[in-house]
Amino acid sequence: MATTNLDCLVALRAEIDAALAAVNEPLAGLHDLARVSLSDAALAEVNNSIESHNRRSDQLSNVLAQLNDLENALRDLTHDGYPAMPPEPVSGEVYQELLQQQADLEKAFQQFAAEVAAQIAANLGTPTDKPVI
Amino acid sequence: MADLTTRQQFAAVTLNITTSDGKPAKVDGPVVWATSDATVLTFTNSADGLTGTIDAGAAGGPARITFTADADLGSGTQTITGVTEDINVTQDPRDLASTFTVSLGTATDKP
Repeated sequence: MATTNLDCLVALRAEIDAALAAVNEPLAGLHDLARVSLSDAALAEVNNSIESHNRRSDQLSNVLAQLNDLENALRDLTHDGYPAMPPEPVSGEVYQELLQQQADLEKAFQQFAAEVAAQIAANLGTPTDKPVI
Repeated sequence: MADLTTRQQFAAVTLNITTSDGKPAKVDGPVVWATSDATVLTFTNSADGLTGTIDAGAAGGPARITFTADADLGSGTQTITGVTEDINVTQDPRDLASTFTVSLGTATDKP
């Protein structure tokens, strides 16, 4: 089934956009927090949180980039006429040449015939006990 | 005549399809299997019908499996058939009665 309706991506894009905004929102505060006087343990936790937020932000940005690529690819496909794939128009001269080639190939093909199956024999093998269920 | 007991099967049946002069040949589509008596013989076969398993049923007696295929590789149909020899199914000796147990009860005076 041909599916190039981009509407299905709108909800996904909105979800990722919202998630990216949410994950980026506390980053400035976390960076500020890392610069105040903290114990080593507290600073380590703040830095861990910054790292987690950055990682999640990168992943979400990557998804958005892939969505952009997907949308562009689907638009290209649609602009190319997908799903229709009509026969290529050619000049009458080229069409005649192709027809002649087809006729030649058909004549060559008719020089062959498949060997016809005539019998089916069964090799039963040796009786064995049925598996116990 | 091939023999099976009710506890047995032919687990690796293979079909050999040949031309009239014995050369290997192809058929159009799967080979269709059929049993002459489903109470005596049942089968399971692969998607292409070229291999399978034949199981003895609960009932004894002779039965056969028939194989049908289309030998015409083009758009037409040319049906060919094959059939196993008679496969005779008998009760498995392990299921035969082998001992009698008699319960005598308690000895009593004759009337």
